[in-house]
Amino acid sequence: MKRYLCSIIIGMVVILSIGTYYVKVASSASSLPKYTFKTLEGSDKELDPVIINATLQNGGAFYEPLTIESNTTTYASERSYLENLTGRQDHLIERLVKEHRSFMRGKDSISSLYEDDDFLAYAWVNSEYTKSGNMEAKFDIGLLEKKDEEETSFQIELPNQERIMNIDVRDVQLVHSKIQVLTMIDVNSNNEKQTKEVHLYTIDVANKKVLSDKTLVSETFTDPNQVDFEMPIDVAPSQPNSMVFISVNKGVNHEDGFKEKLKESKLLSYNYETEKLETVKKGPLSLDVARSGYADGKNLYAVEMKSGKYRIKTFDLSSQTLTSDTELDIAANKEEQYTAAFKNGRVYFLLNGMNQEGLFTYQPAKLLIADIKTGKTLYKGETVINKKNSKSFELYIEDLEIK
Amino acid sequence: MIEVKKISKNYGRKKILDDVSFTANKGEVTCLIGINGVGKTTTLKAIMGLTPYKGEILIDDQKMTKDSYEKITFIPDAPTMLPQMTIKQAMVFMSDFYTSWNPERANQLMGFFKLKEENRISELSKGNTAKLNLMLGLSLDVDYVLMDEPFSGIDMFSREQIADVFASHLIEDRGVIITTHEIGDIEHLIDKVILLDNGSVLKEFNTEEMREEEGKSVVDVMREVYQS
Amino acid sequence: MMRYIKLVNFEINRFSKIYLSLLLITLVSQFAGVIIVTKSLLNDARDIMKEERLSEAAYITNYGGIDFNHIANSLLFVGPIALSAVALIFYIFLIWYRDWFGKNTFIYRLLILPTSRLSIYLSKATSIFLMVLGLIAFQIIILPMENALFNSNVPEALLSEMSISTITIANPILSLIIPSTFTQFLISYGIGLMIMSILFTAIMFERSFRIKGIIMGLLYCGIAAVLFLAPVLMEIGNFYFYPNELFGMMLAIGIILTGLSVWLGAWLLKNRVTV
Repeated sequence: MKRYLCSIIIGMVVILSIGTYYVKVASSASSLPKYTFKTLEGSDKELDPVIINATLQNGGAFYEPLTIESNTTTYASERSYLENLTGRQDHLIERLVKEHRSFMRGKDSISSLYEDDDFLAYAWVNSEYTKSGNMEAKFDIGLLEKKDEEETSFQIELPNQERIMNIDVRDVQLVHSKIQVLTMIDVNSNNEKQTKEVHLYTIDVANKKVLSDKTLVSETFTDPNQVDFEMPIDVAPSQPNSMVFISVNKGVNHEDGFKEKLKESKLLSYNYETEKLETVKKGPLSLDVARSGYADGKNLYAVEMKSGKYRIKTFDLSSQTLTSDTELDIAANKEEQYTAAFKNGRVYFLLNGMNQEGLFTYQPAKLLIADIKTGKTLYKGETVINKKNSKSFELYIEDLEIK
Repeated sequence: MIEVKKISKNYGRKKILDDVSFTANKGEVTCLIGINGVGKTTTLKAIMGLTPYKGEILIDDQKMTKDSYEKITFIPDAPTMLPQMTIKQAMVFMSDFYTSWNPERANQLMGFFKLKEENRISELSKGNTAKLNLMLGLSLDVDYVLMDEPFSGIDMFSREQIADVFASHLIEDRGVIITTHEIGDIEHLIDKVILLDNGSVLKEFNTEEMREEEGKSVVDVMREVYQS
Repeated sequence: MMRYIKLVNFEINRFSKIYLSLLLITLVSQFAGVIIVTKSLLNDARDIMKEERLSEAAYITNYGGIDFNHIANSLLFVGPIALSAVALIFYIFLIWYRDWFGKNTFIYRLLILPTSRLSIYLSKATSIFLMVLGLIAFQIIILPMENALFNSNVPEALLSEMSISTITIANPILSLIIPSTFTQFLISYGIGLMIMSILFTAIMFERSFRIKGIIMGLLYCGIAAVLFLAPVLMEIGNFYFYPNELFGMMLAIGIILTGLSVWLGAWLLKNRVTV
């Protein structure tokens, strides 16, 4: 027996030590605090479609991603290896993958997708840089006819790619069987001048051709001047959408910092149907509203803070008129950041218990669900923890998603 | 009976064994004779499954399996136990792995060779290393023992001792295949001789018949064959 | 089966002296690291506080607390881990070649044992794997002790305490040897086993066919790598797999490759190896 001592010790130590360690790791996830929303008002059924992605932190020494879905907290470490491998996925992409698994291969950018009742379209620019620093780019185009699952996929050269340094697909639409790809572009330059452009490509799927390359906006500037293009947050990026807003913000970079001082700005609208690009006249739909607003194809929603309350303004996109302006039943606090989502005719409004600098206030996160049109509160609640001694944990909310 | 049937082996383009066939019987000492490098050791390795070959080798009408190593053993000319082991540890190792290990025989041989259990293998003289090899191999209750050059580079007294073992009851019913290039010490013990040259069998004969019928000793035949 | 276990034990005993030294080096070096690095961290912190006239609280807000990460990144801590890793990778080769080229040709004895050659092959694989796991287990045991020693050496005001699992996640080398979940542990060490079986088989090629065998062994390693990474390589060719498909394929290929390598290695050892 003495001869086996060494092996027996190693074997025992391996099983005991590694075994204990992983049993402890597994059980530590279940000892983490569970966050749930305590209903203060309304029906907790409203919570069902709410998904909150967050991380639990403890002074930088601890970091654990979690999801609160339908009012249940799940930590990443509680999920199976395969679930974590797939990663956190937009539920829309999740649904599309389920329905059109073959077509959706490799397509994971939500703003590159377009979906209506009959079609699913995709456009992406595949770019790589050659050794000489030039960009070589191709469109990845896909169109799926839902009825008979007929799929068309091809690649075509991006027109005029030699003058492009960087290209970003921002919106994809299908208009009269042609794919429209709205992109933002940084133009190649060999001097101090910089040029940023917004291009609209029209792609004929049947003939696999780029029909047109239209420059909607082009701005050239030199440092310290700065131009940025912004679009409202698209809350339904894959839905049919006849109109987009682009705000053009010109500013000057501060010498010591990078904060830009706004000099001149304008708000443009483009209509895919009429192919008209217009400057939005000053009116109720102001530039600031559009910059920080949320668009869903039909309406643009903006959050405003006024006399201690949050207000939701709704604009009709095509007429650019204010259609409703309601007050939310939640106290506004400059210190706190909000996350908003618009869906199912409701506004989901989350005050995340964190101030502007991202420092924690250890306050519970508050969630309000209200009807967009009437402002009527459908649900109100705040987070509670199932453990008393979890004060040192901080919940860092990353995003709010609605099923 | 060990039957070697038409075995061949090449190292690259060089032929080491070329259609070698012979048999070795239980209860007999068969000697593979030849100058160095004629394939004697390779033949033993082939029988033991220590090197690949073409052809067939049967041991009591059966192919070599792992269980055959309880029936046939190999005593190479180099130590086969770790240098840091003591003789005692080497014996424990053998009894651990072989069911055919015979501790009484081992003790007998230890006494006969005057080996000490506590000696470390790395500290043994060449003669004692050969004796240890012999002790470890012969203490197995096997039917066949293959020995590779048991006398090479060993002092006279050790050679005599080893030769004595061949004459003793320790060998008796076993089949022994031995390779050597110096026949002197054991000529009288050999039943059968296989003369190898350049990887082939030159001559195979029974020593007794040779002596009785042609009046030649093994050395006479060797001289005849190799010098012609 | 008994003989296989005896062989594993025998192989472990053969390596036990070096193995014990590795454990001892790790123990001494890491604990020395905790003490020495903690001391220098505290000195640095005090110097900064003196120079910039900061209170402990102000120091913490400016520079952050002192945490175990500093220790885990130091050479005294990581060095012995690297040394052990190198030693055991080296031993993958040595475990075979020492039997051929050692002072005594033990391979004669090993190959004429009344046991299948597969057992011999597996016993060597098992003993290396067990010793690797033993080192990991040892690290898991001493890590909490080191952490406790560190925590007791740093004044509470400056200390930023870390749990063991956070330490292993935060440090790249520790997270590699102690994966954060059991599944990941199985996958990582499964891949380790696969690589070892492939290397063993390459060694068997060399032992069977010598110079030609080196080329065959290298070729085998290359083919195995390409096969295992084939699903990933296909993605470069613009074919996309879903993560679970990719995982499933690599798992299947990995299992097949490991099985094939063990079979081929043991076959070569049985039928082609020359002593």
